Amino acid sequence: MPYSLSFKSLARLQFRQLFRGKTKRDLIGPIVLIVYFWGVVILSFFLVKDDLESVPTGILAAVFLSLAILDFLCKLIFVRDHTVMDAFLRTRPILQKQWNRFLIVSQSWNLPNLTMPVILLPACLLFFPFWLGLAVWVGLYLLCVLNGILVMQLKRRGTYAPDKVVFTAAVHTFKPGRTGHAIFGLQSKSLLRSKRLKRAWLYMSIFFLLEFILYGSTGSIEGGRDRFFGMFYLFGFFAIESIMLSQYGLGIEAGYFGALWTRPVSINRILRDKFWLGAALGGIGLLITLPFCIWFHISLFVPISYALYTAGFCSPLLLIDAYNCVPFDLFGKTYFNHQGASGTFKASVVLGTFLLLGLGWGLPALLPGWPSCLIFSILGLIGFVFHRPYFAWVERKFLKDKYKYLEKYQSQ
Amino acid sequence: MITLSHLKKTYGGVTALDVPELTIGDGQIVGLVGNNGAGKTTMMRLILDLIRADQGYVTIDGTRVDLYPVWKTFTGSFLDGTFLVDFYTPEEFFDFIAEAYGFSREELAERLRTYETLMNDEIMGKGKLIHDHSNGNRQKIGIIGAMLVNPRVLILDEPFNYLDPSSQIVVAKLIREMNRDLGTTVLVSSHNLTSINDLCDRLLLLEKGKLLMDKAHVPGSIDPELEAYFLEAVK
Repeated sequence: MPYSLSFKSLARLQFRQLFRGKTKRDLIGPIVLIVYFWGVVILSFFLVKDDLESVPTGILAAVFLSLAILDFLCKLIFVRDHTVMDAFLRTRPILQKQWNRFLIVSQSWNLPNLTMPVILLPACLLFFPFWLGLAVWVGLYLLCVLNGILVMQLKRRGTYAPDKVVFTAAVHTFKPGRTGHAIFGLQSKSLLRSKRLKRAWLYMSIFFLLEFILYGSTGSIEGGRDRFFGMFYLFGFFAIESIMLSQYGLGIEAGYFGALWTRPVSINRILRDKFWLGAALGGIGLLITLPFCIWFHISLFVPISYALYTAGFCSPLLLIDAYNCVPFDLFGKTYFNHQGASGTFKASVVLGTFLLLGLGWGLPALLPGWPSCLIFSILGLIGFVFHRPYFAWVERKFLKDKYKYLEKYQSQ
Repeated sequence: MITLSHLKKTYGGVTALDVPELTIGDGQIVGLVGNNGAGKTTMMRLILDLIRADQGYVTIDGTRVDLYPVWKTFTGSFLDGTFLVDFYTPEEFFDFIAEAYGFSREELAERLRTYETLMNDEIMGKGKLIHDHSNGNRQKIGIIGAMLVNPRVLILDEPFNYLDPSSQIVVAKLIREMNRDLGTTVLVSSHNLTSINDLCDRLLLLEKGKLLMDKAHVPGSIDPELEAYFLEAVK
């Protein structure tokens, strides 16, 4: 039998790649996310506890397990083809059979397959008696692993067809030639030409918009809790448009920092371009949502204030230490390339995002109607008025400790 | 003029570069040679202010590069792939450079004509992102990107890597012409001694961060001392 790298060696290599260079601080981000989602799950349990008493446990278990369908769809959209070997592996003796075995077994610890079971762990324990809850959780985990294997099989045969339809539509909307001059284009084109960025942005935007339209068109948005959720999705749509790129800071630029740093292009300019791209996308979002708001009898002040708040206020705040980032590999696609896929977001950015989103979602519940819109608008306008000196200040902070960041970009 | 004063850089206690004094005069074509780990790229990164010097500083035209970024307006450089914007097409990348340095599209088109031989109809108008070009073409795009700004100072790290022999000859010719016509000061590193011998009028030899040799050179001739050094290194 010809020599091949063993399964154990492949697994060890994967874990070393995954954890290499990671410190305890890198755990903060995932822990914050888990605590956040567990908080949401536990809070939801106490909100719906009374309503659930009349639901048979068997039906509830079936509902839980049906979440695997959502998991499957998410993977179909977001998970990349993980079956491609990188150059290092391709040039080593690995039997195809051994590689396939590794790909299948490694699905059991694959992060996307663990996400839903981990998030829903407290729900399984709270909503069911212990042993049934455990059985539901194990069932969910196994379904997620199965989904991972199925999606891997589907994806390795080529790009999932519906992706192309959506992307083609998007590319026609933002034809590269129309996205601005060459320096501004660094922002818009990095978004449009990287599947990793584009998919997340496009699908999340569509998800929030469709949910908003769904709530609105069924008349659920008229009042009460459903109105809150309708507004939740509307705000989420604006947040995705304006904030998503800001969360990466200068991570995208860090991948080609030599091209920027050795040329007369200032960090201030790059940050301002990020801000204006967010504002432009927020503006487009506003144009898209305005007809629906009119249709659903929602005051136009609401989407305008959301657009101002997310683009003018949230986006610059998230860029406050944009330079403290991990280079984001726009074209990364191989199995062991976790660059940009893990540890890209800093804990402070994740926390900041949730705080800003929390304010966006919570304030209308506390101050319904025009007062919350007024506050959002004022905050947004402050951002638009002061963004230039603000980004000049951010640039000065970067320059003060520039080598720390430059050397970090070059070492990764 | 580029000057290095008491310049020192260490990584984890290992000296990557230690050059007490070095001056590169205007209009010189300086070849930087040395085996792997000699400190060539480190020297270039320090000149381009990409890394912090543990001691000393670099000046270009009398101005410290770490304090005043004015050098960026007249310096062209290409060290590695991070000097390329991968998600741009070559046309867009050159547009970006033109915009950053403030010259018009007409001027850009005019300047690009100089590099048509090097591009060999393989780079422009292909609709391919730089990321999707071959290593050789990426190298050409990087070199053109550095030279396109008609720099007073040109810094190229291993410019002959990945290039076919014809392109190596063209690159060397373009550097010589730029030096002759614009008086550009050139610092070029390479493991290709033939190209360095053909191109440079001054040779610097680095070993483990120290400057072992600094001598004038007649372009086109072979330096026996340099040949002897590398032959000795493999014995």
